[in-house]
Amino acid sequence: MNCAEFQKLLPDIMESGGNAEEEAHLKSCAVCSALVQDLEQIAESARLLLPMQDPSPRVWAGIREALEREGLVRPPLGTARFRPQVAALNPRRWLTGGHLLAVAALLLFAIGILWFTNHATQESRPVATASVPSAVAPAAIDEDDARLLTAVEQKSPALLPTYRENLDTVNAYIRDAQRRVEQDPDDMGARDHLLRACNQKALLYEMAMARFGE
Amino acid sequence: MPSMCNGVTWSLVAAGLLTVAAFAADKHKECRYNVAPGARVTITNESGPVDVKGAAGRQVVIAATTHSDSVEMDCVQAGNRIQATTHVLQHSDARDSRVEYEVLAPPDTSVTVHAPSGPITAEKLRADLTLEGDAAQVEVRNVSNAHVHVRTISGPVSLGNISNGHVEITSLSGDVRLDAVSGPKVSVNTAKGSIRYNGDFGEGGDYMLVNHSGNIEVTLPATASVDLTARSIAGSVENDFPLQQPSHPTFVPSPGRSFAGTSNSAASSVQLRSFSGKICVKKQ
Repeated sequence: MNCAEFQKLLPDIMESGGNAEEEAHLKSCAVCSALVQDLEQIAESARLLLPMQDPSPRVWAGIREALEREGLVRPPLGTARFRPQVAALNPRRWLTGGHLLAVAALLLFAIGILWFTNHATQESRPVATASVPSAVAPAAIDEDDARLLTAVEQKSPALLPTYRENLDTVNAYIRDAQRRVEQDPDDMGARDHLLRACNQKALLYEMAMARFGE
Repeated sequence: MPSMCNGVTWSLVAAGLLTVAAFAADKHKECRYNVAPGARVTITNESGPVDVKGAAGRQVVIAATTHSDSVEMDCVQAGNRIQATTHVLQHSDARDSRVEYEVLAPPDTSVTVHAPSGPITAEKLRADLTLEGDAAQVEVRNVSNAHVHVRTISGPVSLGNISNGHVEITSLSGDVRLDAVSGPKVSVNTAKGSIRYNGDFGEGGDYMLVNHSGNIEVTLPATASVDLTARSIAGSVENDFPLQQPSHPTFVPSPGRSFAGTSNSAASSVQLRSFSGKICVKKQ
């Protein structure tokens, strides 16, 4: 089994556990092992944050009214069924469904989301708890970068400078956007840049894993 | 003197023999498949160029040239799906592992290319294109009614004469150039790469050009019908195009950092976003 095959089956593996072949690959492959570890950590952190993200019934009612006013949805004929429909987009469903975990490209996107949430919640915490490690420790990302570069160096040394340079580039992008969001949390443009930067890093990982993952 | 002449002669003979040997190692393989409308072709080439062209008829022709026995090209057809893959039999230097692909396909064929080193070129097609390469230079020309997805790490991307396209380009450090590219949705994301757009933004599309530190340069004719916003968070903006102030501005422009305006009937939405690069909008 190679990395591509393993990652294709990752949703099922994460949800129901893997078979002997999949476990053997996981033990022998540092890249996939790190990916699974990160995904588990993110999923766990996200679950902890879900109660804070779940809006109150009043918010759902407000959204429904706004969409009805705009003509985007029809008013319910009988019993209100709106919330279940909107709930289909609720993170709780896709996080517990395991399908999110399948896509390595979403790894860093999720990091960005968690970073936002964590940042927002940290602002309202007492100062004494501000030193609690964030849901996504930056050091973990650095370790992943090192693993990625090691894999590139082993499989295609000539491409190492390209990957190293572009990792530096995208990390700088993430750092700049993070700083800006910290300075001005209401700057939606900066938040958009941060998400895009995370997506770019996800692209780098996805392309590297597709090529060097085996 | 005669000995010198002999030396030159032998050198020429040796060079000639080496050249002949090099060409003799080249192997050409061609696969031909009849396909129905809406066929899919996937090319995976570890090293070397892939050139795809739309052609009349209902046949897909894949021609590959290899330069050593350390690689081979494998073609398979399964229904309306065709796959050509380079197999590296033994690791060798860049030249020996290089394979050159030339593909002719009916214009309605969807094409996917993975070619890390490229270059990748595609033209005269009107179906979905997915082109990926780490350092590959990617060029797409004369494509219509298509989804064009391009992803590179450092490879530059150039698109020309694309109409009614759903275009999505992502590159980390490759420069992106768009000439006469229009469609309902055009999205470009780079980190360090610069973005250049030259054209009129069509009628009624959404255009989003975003980067981190590269520059964004847009050149458009006076006839362009756009609702344009530009913002560089830590860089600068310049506008040389006559824009009218929007009646309902979505944000308050900051001199030197952002501006917004419309021209003509504001048919297309154009958003230019840079983190620290310079955004420049010019009149053609």
